[in-house]
Amino acid sequence: MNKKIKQIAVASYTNGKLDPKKVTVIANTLTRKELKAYIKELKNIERKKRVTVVSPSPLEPAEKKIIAEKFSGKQIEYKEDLSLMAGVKIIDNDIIYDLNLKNILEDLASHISRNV
Amino acid sequence: MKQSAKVIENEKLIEDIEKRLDAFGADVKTQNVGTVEKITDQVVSVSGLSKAFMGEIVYFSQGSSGVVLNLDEDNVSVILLDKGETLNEGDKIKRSEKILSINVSDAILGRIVNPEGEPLDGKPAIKKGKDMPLEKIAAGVVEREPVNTPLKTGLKAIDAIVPIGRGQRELIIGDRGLGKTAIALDTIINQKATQETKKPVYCVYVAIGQKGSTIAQVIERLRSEGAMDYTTFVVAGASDPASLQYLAPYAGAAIAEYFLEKGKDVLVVYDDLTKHAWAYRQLSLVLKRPAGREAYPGDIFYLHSRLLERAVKLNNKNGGGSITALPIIETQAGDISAYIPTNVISITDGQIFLDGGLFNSGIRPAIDVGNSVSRVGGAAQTPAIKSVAGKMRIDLAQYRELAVFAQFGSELDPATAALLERGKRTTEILKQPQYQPLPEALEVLSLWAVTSGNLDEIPVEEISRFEKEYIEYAKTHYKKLIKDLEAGSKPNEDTLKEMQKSLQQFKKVFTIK
Repeated sequence: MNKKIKQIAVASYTNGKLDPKKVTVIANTLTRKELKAYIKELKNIERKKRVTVVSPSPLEPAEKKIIAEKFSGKQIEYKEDLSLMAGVKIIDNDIIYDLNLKNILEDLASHISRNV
Repeated sequence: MKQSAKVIENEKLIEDIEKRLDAFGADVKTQNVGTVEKITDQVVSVSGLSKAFMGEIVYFSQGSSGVVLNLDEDNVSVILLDKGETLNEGDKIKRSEKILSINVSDAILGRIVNPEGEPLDGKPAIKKGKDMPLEKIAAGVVEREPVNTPLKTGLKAIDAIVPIGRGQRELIIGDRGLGKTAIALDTIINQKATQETKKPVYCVYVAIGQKGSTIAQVIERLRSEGAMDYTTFVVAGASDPASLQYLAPYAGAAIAEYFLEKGKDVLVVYDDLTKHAWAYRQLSLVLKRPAGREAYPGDIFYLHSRLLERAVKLNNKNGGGSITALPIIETQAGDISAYIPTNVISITDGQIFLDGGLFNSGIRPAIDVGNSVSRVGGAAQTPAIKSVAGKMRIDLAQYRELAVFAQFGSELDPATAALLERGKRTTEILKQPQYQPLPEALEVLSLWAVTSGNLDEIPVEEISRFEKEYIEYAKTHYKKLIKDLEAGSKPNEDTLKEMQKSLQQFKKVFTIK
């Protein structure tokens, strides 16, 4: 069942955009259980398309350009979080690029507590 | 002067830390995370973690840890290493990028640990040593050599009839309560004598799915016998998660491999692999792997073969160490043709089969000589014991056959009657109380007494007492003879004469009640 739901979810897109017509037709025919799986699949697909960039202060247009080039074809969302102190954190679905001071300090702390 | 040196040192330290800051960005760090989707009896289904590999340790955000056991298209199944009571759906998981391993150092001898290497004896953590992987491909053929050194169990019946060599895998199989663990414990206790020699045998006892009270009893016994100093306990009891029970024997093998790498000899007891198979069956069913015969998964054979294949005798080029494995299997109503027993019988180099009938008729250890074999141990027997026990196996088999006929009460010719009488005495001499392993020299004396026919005139019911008192007598009056026999070479004419003399003299002082 899961495989079919997955195929339906992929087929709900027209030219990379979620087609409202298709979605309504599909949603009407599915049972409650299937609908749950369908929504989960859609969310999965959306998550894979989105990249979140977190930084302590707004990024310069040049920096944004570099990121956009690296993640071409994906929707980029910018967020601000002061606790990072410096650097950025890029979340690409299940992969996180932790290039910030907060992470380095945390690593250092855990390294010290483990080895000293 | 000193002060300035200190200042320079401090500055250097600060510089080093600063370098870490400078290196910011150069050291690109990616993290692969996942989210808990579903939790079912010790198995967690996780989305994300697309880079995880099999056997990798993962950490949950609430503090639990787990091991990757299934990789599917868009989810990963992780077995929890603890009870995971506080785990929730939606919790985050981080990869460790490390394969599951256990910290082993020399300090692990005499300790009780769980399969993750954490102490269970209330003492501090094991001193940092080497991380040994739980899963490891066993040594290849070029690194091995045939079994050639005996591993003395101190039990006459085993050392004479089903001898075990260092690097061998000998299965102990039988119903519950027939003394399987007792054989393994006697073997561990008997290794005490090797600790003073050039080639000591260290021991690892792996308790899988056993009752806490039983484990406590075993530990206490070994402690009182002074066997704890060279033994490590790996414990995953009946109340521990199935995942830990599944990992326990591999942890035992990993500990043994640490000593193997140092060229040492190690004995590992897996008590018992039936419960190990049950734990793995439970995990496999929850993981929704297809079930086969008796609901065991398809790789149940490989589960045990890859574990027991790690028992090895390395050649001198590779350190010359060895791992001897004594797996234990519990049968139901003596059925050795069930699934797991047949699997493990075919993997091991022989089996010691314990029989309920023998046990109940007072023959202990209740070893069924007919069904027990040792496929490679003969090569490791010392010439001394070989010379006295060579024919024993066949004689005993003949005796068993004749004994069945003799039950009909028909008239027997003198030769048959003599054979029967000898058989009764041989059976009697092979009896041995628990926790009293014998040194080889005394085993040779006892066995020779019966095979040479010297016990034929002693009544069967007096044999045990005769043997016990004879051994004490020999220990005090024939110290040189015992020393000669300890060397392990075949007794020469003079030694044989001396053995005969000792027996004859003892017979003079021995009174039959």
